[in-house]
Formats: sequence, C-alpha cells, structure tokens
Amino acid sequence: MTALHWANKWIQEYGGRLLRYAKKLLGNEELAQEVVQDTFLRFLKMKREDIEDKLPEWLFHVCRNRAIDVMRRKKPGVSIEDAELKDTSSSALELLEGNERVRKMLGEINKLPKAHQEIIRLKFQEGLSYEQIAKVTGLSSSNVGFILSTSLKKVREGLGGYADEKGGRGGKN
Amino acid sequence: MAKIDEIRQAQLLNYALGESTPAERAELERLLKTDAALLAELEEIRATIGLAEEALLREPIPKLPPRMLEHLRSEMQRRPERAPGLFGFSANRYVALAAAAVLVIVVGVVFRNSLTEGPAPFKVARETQPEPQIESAPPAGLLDADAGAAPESKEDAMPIGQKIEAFIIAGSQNDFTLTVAQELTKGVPAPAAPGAELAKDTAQGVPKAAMKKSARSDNAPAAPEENAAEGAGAEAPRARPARIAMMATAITIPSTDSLLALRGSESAMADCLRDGFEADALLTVRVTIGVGETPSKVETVSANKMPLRDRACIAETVENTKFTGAPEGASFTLTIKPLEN
Repeated sequence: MTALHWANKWIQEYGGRLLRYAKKLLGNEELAQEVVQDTFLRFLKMKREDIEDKLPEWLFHVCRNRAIDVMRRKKPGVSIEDAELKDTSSSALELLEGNERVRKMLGEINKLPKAHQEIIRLKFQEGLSYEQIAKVTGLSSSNVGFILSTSLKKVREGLGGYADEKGGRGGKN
Repeated sequence: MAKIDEIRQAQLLNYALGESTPAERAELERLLKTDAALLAELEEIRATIGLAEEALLREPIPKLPPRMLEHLRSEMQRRPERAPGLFGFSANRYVALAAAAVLVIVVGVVFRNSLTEGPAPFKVARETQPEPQIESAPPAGLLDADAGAAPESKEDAMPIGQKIEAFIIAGSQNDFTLTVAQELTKGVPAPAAPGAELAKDTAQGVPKAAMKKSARSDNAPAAPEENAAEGAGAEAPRARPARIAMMATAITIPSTDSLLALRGSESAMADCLRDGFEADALLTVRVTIGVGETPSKVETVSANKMPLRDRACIAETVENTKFTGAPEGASFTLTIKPLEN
C-alpha cells in the first residue's frame, strides 16, 4: 500500500469518528470540522513509521489537544471538565425513538462529569484500550479503569433495573 | 449479598473488559468459583457494558464534509513527498543533515587549528562592529561546502518556500553555530542594500554578511566589503523574502515557542511537544526575533525545554510551517543547545 493510500485509508476510517468526538468536546460543528482538519494536516506531515503503531490514540490525542486549544481561544483557562461535552447539532437521544433502555442509558451517561463522559465514549464508542485512553487524555491506565468503574456504577444506579434486563456481553477473560 | 467494594468492582470491570493483569485474572477466577455475590456483580457489570455499547454505538458517525476531504486530498497531492513514509526524510532534512555533518568537520578543523595556531580563522560577526577580516578568509572547506551548485540554478530548481537558501557557518572557539536560512512563500520588498547583500551571499556561495549571530545582525549595516560588492553587483534590488534562520549547535533543530508565539496557541508546534509521550532528553531552546531593517523590536524568549525525541517532528513542522502571523521583514534566530545542568 502506498503512503498516499495508507493516509487516505486512515482519513476515511477515522475522519467521521474524530468529527463525532470533536463535536462532543466542542459542541460546535464548524469548530469540530476545523479541529479535525488540523488533526489530519498534522497527520499528513508525520512520518508513517513514527505513528503507525499508535495511530488511533495519536489521532484522538492530537484532536483533543486541538479542541482544547479552540476552547481556550474562546474562553481562556477552560478545561475539558468545564467544556460543554455535548453534541448540539443533533440529539442522539432523538435518534433512539422506541428504545427506552438505550435512551435512558444515554441520558445517564450525559449526567456524568464531562471528563468521565469522554472516557466512557473513548472506551465504549471508539473501542480504545485503557492504555490508549491514557495516552489520549494524559491519565494513567489505572486511573482510566477506576474512572470507568465509578462512572458505570453511577450509570447503573441511575438505570435501576434497566441494565439487568439486557443480557450483557461475555467477558473477554 | 455482601457489599463489594470499589476496588473489587474496578477489578471486575477490568476483567469484563479484558484489561486485567494475569495475576488479577487468576485471583478473580478463583474467587468467582466460590463467591456468588461476586459472580452476580460481574454479570451486572457485563449487562451495563453491553447496554452502554449498544447506546453509544447507535450514535451516528458523521461524514467529513466534501470540502475538507478535497482540501486534504489536495494537500496530499501538493506535497506528496510529505506523505507519511513516502521518503522518510524530506529533501530539506537530508540537506540539513549533510550541512550539519560538514559543520562538525569544519568545527573540528577550526578548533584544532585554534589550539595550535592561535586565533580562530573566523569569528562570529558583531552587529555593531563588522569585522572585515571575517569576510576575508573563509576556510576552504566552508567555501566548498557552500559552492555545491550555482545559486542561480538552485533558485530555478526549487520553488520559494520549499528550499533552504543557504548554509551559513559562524563560530568562535566556544560557540559554533550553523544557520539555515529558508525562504518563505511570501517575499517582502526590501531596500537595495539588504537585497544586494542577500544576492551577493547567494551568488558567491560564501557566508559573508550573513555570518551573524542573531536575527538582529541580519539587518545590521553592511560591512565595507559588502558595500563595495554591492556597488559592483550586477543584480538589481529585488524582493527580499522573509527568512527564518535556524541556528543550532551541532544539530539542526528549530524551536517551538517562538513560532507558537507568532502563530498563537494553535501552532502545530505546540502539538509537536505535547505529542511526545515521553521525553528521553531535553534541550534548551532560545529564540530571538528581530523585526525591521534596524530592529525596533528584539525579543529573546526564555529558554524552554524540548523533548529530544520530538526533534524530527519539530524540524519537519518548521520546514512546512507558513509563518502567516509573522510581521513583514521579520527574521528569527533559533538557538538550540543541550540542556545545561
């Protein structure tokens, strides 16, 4: 695969996912697009061998830093925790008509602190490992695991018996 | 049902997600065989994970807007040599590395000579007191290193904004520097003297007036010999490009924060630093920014620490960065040296 094909493949595969992530961070479609474009421009300047083995977390990490830059430009001193971690352009809840359990789950997730929501999304939406999330966010892997655990516990408490109605997936171990 | 503490819950989550260590996994599996409460908790955690995934994966993945895709495609086409891994190193980087190697050799020869024969054969030019002898006797190696190609043909061959304009070596017994001046895309009109000065430097392949220690000296009054050369110079005054001068000791690594200051917090340079997950070694970076023919503003940005492992990224980014925030006529001097203890 040529370098151009390789780069194009990653843009196709991760472009939308980064845009979704950036929109959650920024709550603004246009700013999110700007951030994602900057991320890929950076990507195109990198040497393949420098990033190939860590590309997903590298992309999310650069995207996150860009988003923070944008947030600070708008409001100096702002952090992820302060930011509006929501997608204002389209309500995901509206897309889930007829599925009360899923709707309630998203509602509970959206009640969590912003930084915890981000970790939950990186894990369950983007499928990153603890280590990858740690590299994206700058937290330690163990901290990522603990935040996930406490966040899911809160979600479970908020859901009541909803989660139990759904058969869980099998453990990986 | 016995209450399960947070640590055990975190361990169960790690287990359910395949993130347990082998020791944790073994211990949990042993406990799960006998502890029904623990097993029930694990099932609840799994159910929550399943529902969270179901909910979050239903959120649609947006598409990149066509104009962004078009922009990215054109960027890939415009600079195919910058595509990841296509060549590994850019042409500029090869040239810079070659220049650095030449520098090391020249420095070694000069330093050895200075120890055995007295004063160094060339010195760093003083901006306030240009020393004619600086121009008079550049080392032969220096001339050779710079005279690899005719300057006119070099200019024809490489578009402005992509080429390294000249290599300028200056030094003393304790301070050797390599300056790589790179022309930018947007040239700025300049008076006759600096334009001719630049033309002369390039035409002769000799580090004449450009043998300066800082950006200020780029704009310093020309030495007498330079003025004489200007009088005889065949080239008319021309637009002088804004220049970036990267001065490094033995290594060619541009800085970050000066450029960051110029371009704001969105500078790609910032991410170069942030993206280094670990720092194996540190460098100090000192940045001097000079503006105007007679510099009205000279800033020295305080020394910063820079992870050594990011140098390739930083160098490449500087090569590709368009300094749209730079004032007209600005020149930059980036001095990098190993971190002082």
